[in-house]
Amino acid sequence: MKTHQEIINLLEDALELDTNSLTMDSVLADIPEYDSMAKLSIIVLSDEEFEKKLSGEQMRAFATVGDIVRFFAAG
Amino acid sequence: MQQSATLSGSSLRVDQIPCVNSTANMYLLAVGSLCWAIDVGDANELLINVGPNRNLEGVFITHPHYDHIQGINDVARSFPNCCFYGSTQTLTGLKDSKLNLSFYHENPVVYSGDSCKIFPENGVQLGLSGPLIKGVPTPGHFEGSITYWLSSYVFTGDSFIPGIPVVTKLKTGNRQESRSSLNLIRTLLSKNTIICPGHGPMKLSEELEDFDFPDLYEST
Repeated sequence: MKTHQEIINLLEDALELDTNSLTMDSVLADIPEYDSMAKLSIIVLSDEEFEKKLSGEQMRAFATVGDIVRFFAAG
Repeated sequence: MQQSATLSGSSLRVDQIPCVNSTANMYLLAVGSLCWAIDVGDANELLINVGPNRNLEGVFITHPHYDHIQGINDVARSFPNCCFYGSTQTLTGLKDSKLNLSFYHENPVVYSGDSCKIFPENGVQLGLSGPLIKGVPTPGHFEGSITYWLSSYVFTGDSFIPGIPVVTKLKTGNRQESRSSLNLIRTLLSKNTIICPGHGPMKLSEELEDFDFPDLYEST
């Protein structure tokens, strides 16, 4: 089970951002790197790291980094 | 944009074919009645451009991301002798829907044939007396990416799209390798080289500016 911070670090890696550049409150719409390729990268991350199928509809429902983290952290 | 050139008596014609099902490009290389393609993202568009009286001899795949290969099975059915060339990793990606990323889209793509070959180091001659197409590994966007060059044309796939930062966020992507590949691609360019990218318009190398290489000249 990964901690919230570990999941944030995975997201930073997927978005090619520096470590500690994201927080739970970071708004996805305000992150320039959160583009279509980043979304695809997160969908792949979801499948490979968390074995969770993440649909485009679910992706669109995420507003903050915390939303994604909580989705991954939920059992 | 259509471009053609004549090489040592054999006429080479290069046409860009934008995919309708994505933003990717394919290119049709024609020498007489024989054709080859760069990438196979949209079978319908490729088959229309090959036409009823020409044969598609082979396809040179820059990298196996779904938008560049999703027409492969339909094209293979239409041209059973067509050979698909690429790197070792690309050929693996043709049969692995997670590696080619189609698994995460509506229609997973898994190449069901066996007519594929690792692109040879010494290149492939187009026809008996046609020009030689060569390739060089340009990892970064994908570890097995190949940039092909033929006469004055360079087919960069997604390893270099003028003015657009290279996407290295996807599986096997690597920013450092991408920078090295961009520098390598620059060495392939002469004044009259025509850059044929995997997305966007073709561009003459003499028209390139520093901002066409945003990964090498990042604004501060």
